Amino acid sequence: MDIHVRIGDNRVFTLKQAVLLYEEGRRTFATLHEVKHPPDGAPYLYAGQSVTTGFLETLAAGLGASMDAEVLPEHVLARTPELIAWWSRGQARLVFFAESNAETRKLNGKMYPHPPLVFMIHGRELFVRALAEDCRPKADTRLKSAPYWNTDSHGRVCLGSMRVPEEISASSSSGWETAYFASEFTHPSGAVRLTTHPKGFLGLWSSLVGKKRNFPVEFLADCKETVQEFLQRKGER
Amino acid sequence: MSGTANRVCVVGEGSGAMLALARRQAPLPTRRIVTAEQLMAPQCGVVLPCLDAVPGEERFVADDRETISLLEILVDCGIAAVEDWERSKKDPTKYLLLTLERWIRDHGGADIDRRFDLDITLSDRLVDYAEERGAEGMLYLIVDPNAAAFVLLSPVIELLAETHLRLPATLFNIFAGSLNRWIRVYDYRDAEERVEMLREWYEGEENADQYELPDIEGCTAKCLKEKPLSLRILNELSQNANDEAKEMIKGLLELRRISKQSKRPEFTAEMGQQLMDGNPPLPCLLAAFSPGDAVVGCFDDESQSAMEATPDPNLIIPLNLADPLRVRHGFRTLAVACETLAAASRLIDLMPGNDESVITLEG
Repeated sequence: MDIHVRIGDNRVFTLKQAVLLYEEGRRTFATLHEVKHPPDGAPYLYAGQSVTTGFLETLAAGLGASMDAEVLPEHVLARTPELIAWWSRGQARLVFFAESNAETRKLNGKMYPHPPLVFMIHGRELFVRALAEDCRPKADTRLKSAPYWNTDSHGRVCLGSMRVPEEISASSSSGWETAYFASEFTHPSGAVRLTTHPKGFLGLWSSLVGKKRNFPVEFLADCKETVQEFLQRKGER
Repeated sequence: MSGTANRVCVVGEGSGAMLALARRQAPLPTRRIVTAEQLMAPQCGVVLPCLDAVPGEERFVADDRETISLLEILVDCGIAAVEDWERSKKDPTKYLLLTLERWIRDHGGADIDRRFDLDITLSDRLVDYAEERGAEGMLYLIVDPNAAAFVLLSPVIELLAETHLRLPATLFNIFAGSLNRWIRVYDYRDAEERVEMLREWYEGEENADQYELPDIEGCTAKCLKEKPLSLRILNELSQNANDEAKEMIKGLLELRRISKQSKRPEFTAEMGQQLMDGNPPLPCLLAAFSPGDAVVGCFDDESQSAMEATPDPNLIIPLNLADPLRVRHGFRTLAVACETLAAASRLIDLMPGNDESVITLEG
């Protein structure tokens, strides 16, 4: 039986295994040893076994450097073991705003037209940007800021209590989009220009209430990066 | 390596070599005469490297307040032992770990370990990697399996049916019922549900009749459909049956008695909020009729998707640090859960055909 105590960040890490490396010139091999803890006395290494390629693959999988082969749908833009990015066409979607004041109360739970969007998941973080044209972007396509609250200047979404899929794969991309729009937009995330609309963020969405098509892309703010830069920066500047 | 070869090829002279041969203390022989010791096969001289200077543990300490509050309660009510404080080298988290180990050991730990492969965690949150923790001052004892234990039923069913036709159904009902009060047991009823669900899925498809479904009914002993015996008759049989059945019935009655000594804590809305929409708990025990029957097949099939969403824990015992009585009651509840598992382990020991599912620990 394994017994653990995990309160706050306190942890007791017990030495369980050791990898020993043997070298002769440029040739190396490794052995993996269990560590035994006698009740009275120092721990010692148990007989080892050669580290196999399979072991290293398992280790790499544990570090997230492995992914199952999957057929990528057309809307996927990039896929690595740690990242997936896709785009979605402009469309009408239901939007929820936190009813923190009279203005957002009026906007909450209504259909709005949305611009085409680029989503990216890196680790367990979600990023979103907007596109000026409703077609698959290229590496050098310039991106716009997504006109949404809870999304910072890097496009990083504050997930809060958003119920996102466990899985990160091409097939779960629609689940992430649904989760994004099913949660409430509550507040602007830091200093970020979300729109060029003369009446600002709330003015933009107020003007779109009840419309189903043609998001006015002229009100999208330039975020000064291309798709390639967005994918490579992964939210870092 | 022979004794003579050992003289010209000394292995392990270097201080850091692994598997160095032990140095033998023998008088130096003359050059030409080989001693008897050198002609004999050497003793097993493999030395396992000792990690004298290597710490066996590293501790990360951030905030001890809740740990200390819990320990104060456990010391006051006599659950935490003074000698463990010294053993912990005065580290609160380690002290709590030793206290928990001692508590489980005192309530059937060794018996449990023989059959069950479990994880018991004391945590401030229900999902280990979740950012959201429980309310301030609320901790949880969580029981979950590392792997499902296995119990084989057919031999014991055959044995008990010789004593009384309704005894196998009685055994199954009490055994599974007592355990299910505390942990999840996967048995033929779960497999039937699985098959029913598969049947519904396939019904909508073309050529639905071409799908072959596991035959649970075919592998299930018919006598399990009998009405279970009353407690009175069971008590009578515990005196009158043959020795083997008598032991089994006594073990069964003990399991039933222990499992009812406490109630499983209720699943609260607050727990539900932390767990959100999880999968069902992972089974701690698989009860099948034979090693490769349709029940095992269904279990294997279900296990493929068991981790698609985080499974709910098998048992959650909340410990509210603001209420020392309830903390004490929580530990008592854990003790009953452990003793139930230990009693189940001892009962499985008595069931014929279950020798292979004993867990043996190295070292």
